[in-house]
Amino acid sequence: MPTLINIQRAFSEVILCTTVPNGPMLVYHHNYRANFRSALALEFPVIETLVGKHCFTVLAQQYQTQHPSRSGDLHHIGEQFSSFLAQEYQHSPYAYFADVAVLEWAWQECLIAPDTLAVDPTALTACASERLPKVRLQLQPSLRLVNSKWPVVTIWETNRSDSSPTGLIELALGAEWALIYRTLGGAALRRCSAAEHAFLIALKAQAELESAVADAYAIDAAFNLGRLLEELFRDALITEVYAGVSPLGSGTKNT
Amino acid sequence: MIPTPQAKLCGVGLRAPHHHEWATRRPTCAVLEIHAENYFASGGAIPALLADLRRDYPLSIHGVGLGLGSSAPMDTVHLQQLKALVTRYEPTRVSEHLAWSTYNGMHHNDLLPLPYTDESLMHMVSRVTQLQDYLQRPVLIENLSSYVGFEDSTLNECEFLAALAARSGCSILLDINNLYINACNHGFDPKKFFDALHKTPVDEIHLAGHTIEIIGEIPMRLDTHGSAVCESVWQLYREALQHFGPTLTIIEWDTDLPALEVLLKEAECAEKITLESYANAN
Repeated sequence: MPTLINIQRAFSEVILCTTVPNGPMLVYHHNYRANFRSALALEFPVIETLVGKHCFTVLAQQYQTQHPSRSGDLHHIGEQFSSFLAQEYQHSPYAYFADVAVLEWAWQECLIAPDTLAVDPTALTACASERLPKVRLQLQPSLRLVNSKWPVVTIWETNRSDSSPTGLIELALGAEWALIYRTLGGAALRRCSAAEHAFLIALKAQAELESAVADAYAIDAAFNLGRLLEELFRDALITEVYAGVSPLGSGTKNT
Repeated sequence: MIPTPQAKLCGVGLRAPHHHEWATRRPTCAVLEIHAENYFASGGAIPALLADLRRDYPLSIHGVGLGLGSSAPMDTVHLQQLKALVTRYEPTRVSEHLAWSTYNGMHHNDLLPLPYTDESLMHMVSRVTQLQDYLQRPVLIENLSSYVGFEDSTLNECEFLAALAARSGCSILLDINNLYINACNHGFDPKKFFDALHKTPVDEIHLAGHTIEIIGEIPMRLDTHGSAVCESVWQLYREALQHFGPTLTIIEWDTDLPALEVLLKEAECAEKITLESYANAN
């Protein structure tokens, strides 16, 4: 009598085989692909709109072959979809698909990231002015930053399921930057400038305020630090303010 | 304890497209069922919503991704996430399936049937015991809809479930739709299933819709959870209640999801049958 492991090996081989089986095993063969495709489409609805349903099915099967699910929780399967698309569409007019997928995955990650309480602006304003340059700001763990040399934010906004496509988008519109952050009911996207993006990237890397500001000014001398900080506090995106030169986590917490 | 006719026993599955309506309308419902894996996120709006709903509704947490019958070791991360969910929301029931799903590190994300052999039974007893020890509470195991059988099986499904419950201490989640599908696809009398489980605790019942499709020139019933409960399944439900008494019942609907009102009406129908069953038994 075959052992359990041998039966499961044989069963798996039929499911994974590219040849479609006859008879009832067809159901399992189909489910394996259909369940994966459905879950992937929920995570990348704009990619599905852009490529069309049939093409998305083909892409999902190719992606599943290269990156099969390793978890009983299908929410993880999209993690490498953008890099798969980058390879699939490199040197093609659709190379921007990969960056759209990066944005969609960032949205998904934002939705499920851990909750952290925000601090109010007094955490920063209470800090002595001479110490401000060395202050480090910790951002919400759910905050995601997106940038692309293509107008992916425009593409994403135009092709979301809850909006109607409004004509052709000229790729020559060029680079776009955005932050994706948690809101009470889900997530929101806000466009930002290249300088603001550089500032936030530096903060995410735990840079001191003066260093992050320098990165922003290197891109745009008109960078408005006060306005950006006001928006970050307003949207509850700052969770800690550390003063001093000590590394993050052991500094003086102004909360 | 025999429930009184006033104690409602029928609920529905909580599904994402209905989240807003549950949050704002708070319709009457005895219990909400959730698929565990859809609520593993540690933060965001979904856990917040569930915590809010939990204040008004009992929960039944139904796992679909653990693959208890897989010969591969259990996914410890998945177990930890399930335990965190159970600890946080304190459900009235925690359940999983008589199924396997992983092989060689790959997850099929489907509920795959087991051969009903002594080896499989020992394996499932060990896995269910491990799960119950880890969660520190008893679990329910659901009978599976299946489209193939195994020549090597030495037990039938109900004998397997009865032995599993007796040896592991778990109880049974009886999916009447799955039972009906299997009875049609594999050709057996579903009522014999009830007889075989007469000493086994059945603590939850599931009802759902299915479709008929031609697979390899043979009509097969497929467990799609995408339509209303059919009359044959309602009838089998009546007979199940005669055997097992009034039992917590969930209407499951996962594909082609209709308006919440449709699900609630199905639950009302189950409630009515439960009350009739109670009246007949007294």
